[in-house]
Amino acid sequence: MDFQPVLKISEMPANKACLTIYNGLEILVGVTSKGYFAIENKCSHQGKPLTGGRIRHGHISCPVHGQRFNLETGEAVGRLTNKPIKIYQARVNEDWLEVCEISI
Amino acid sequence: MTSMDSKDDRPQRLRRPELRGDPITAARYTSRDYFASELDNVWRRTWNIAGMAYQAPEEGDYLVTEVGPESVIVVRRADGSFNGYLNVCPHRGARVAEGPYGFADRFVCPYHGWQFDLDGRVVDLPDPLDFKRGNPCSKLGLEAVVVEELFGMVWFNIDRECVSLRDYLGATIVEEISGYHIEEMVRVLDMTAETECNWKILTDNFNEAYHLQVVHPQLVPFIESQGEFSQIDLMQNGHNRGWFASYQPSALHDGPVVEPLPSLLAEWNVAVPEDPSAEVLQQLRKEVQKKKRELGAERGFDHYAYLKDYQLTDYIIYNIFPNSVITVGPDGVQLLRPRPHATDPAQCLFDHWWLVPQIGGRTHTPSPSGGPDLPVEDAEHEYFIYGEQSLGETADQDLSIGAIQQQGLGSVGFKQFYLSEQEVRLQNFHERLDDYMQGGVS
Repeated sequence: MDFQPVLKISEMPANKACLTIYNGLEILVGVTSKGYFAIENKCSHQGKPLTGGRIRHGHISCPVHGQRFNLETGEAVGRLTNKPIKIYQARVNEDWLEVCEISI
Repeated sequence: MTSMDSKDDRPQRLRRPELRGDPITAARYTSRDYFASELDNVWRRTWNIAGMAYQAPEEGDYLVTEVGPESVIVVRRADGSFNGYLNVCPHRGARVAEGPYGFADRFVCPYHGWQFDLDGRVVDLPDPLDFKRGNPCSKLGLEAVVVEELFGMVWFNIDRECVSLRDYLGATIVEEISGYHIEEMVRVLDMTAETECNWKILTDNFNEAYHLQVVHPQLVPFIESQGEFSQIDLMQNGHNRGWFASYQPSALHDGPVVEPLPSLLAEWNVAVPEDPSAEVLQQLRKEVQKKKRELGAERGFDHYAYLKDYQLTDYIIYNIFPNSVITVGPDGVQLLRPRPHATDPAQCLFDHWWLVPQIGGRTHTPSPSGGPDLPVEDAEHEYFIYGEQSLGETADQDLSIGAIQQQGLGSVGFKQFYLSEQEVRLQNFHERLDDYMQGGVS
């Protein structure tokens, strides 16, 4: 799979998760002090969207139950689930953030 | 008034309350009945710290803190104030919020999806008309606790009839700690360690400096613990204050001046004279205070403008009943706090925070945990079992006595504490504990 541009860097305020589309799926992208991230817009706990989830210390909090996920690894932090969320590779190409499936 | 007693050279001495001499025996550390009763009589009735207010900057940002079996949520409201709730769904008792922090437009119970607004009311749930006792909306809610903000921290009390936090702490503590402007500081270390002892073993430890020469020999060359340049004061409600001068060797220190004292002095352009007498060494601290007044602002130590002379060099420890131990120094504030375990009297959770002011453009600050310098930014919470990771040299030394004392207190060979005068703060603490346990505190 190739990298695809999803959002202009200028449209990504720091520490905000921005909703966009990749391969027909809703994803969240953004930038923190630890770098750029791209994650599937779906909590692994009860399947609700992560849209609006606040970002602190490199983690996004699910707005429904507060379960947290590491934006770099997808790892779940908290007692509600151990299941990670899906993450994507993210890179900057000129003015655009590009996203790609992680090949296994 | 001699200069020794001047208001700016040491904290003002306080009148010492009468102590009864209650015996302090082992049951309070080891007994499950005592532990259960302590939850009702102490933990559900006293003030505790939920976290730093700046951790929850926006509406819906919340912090969760465990104290024994209780879990408390404090949440920022639209008007900037905080609400507090017991973290328990009134439906079937599940926790509704995950800690240590998060945010919610509404709290949503993970079990059946009951939704609570930030005022704690049930505002939505699946199948609301399926309840013979009536629709839970606008009828049920989260149990509120009392919340106040002070020293940049959010405090809570589960007892809704409690006295205000300011009355509980008393004017001396409120005024003196407020003077440090902790609300302008950033917490650069935030650790919690599971520890194998009753919480009081650690508060006892912080209630006396008698152990310092044995457990913390590294402090003797530059901090006073029991000589003329230290002072302990007992306060109302079981609180106390200890003052320990620094930038000079303790009276217990023998031999020549050793590090870190020369480096501490050199940082403020004060040199150690050849073969100094004790009197000369005691003047060095005054020299440092002068230099800090002179050079502090230009070096970016803006916060020195708030501080009295003795606060520019010395450490003051405030032991706030039952378990919030706040030590203030010239360039940082430390919280050392054991919290009771959910079920076991022989375990506790130990919190170690280190907060620093912004000093000029400094991006890093020395770590009290002895590791590399810490970035001056809000630290992520670290949670581990004592021994797996360092809590800092001094804190590790303090906790090293935890398990051995807990075990010893379980022996028939131990009768009761036999305390020295310099351990009088323990007596004051335990008598207040006795008052609470006997229901004698209104």
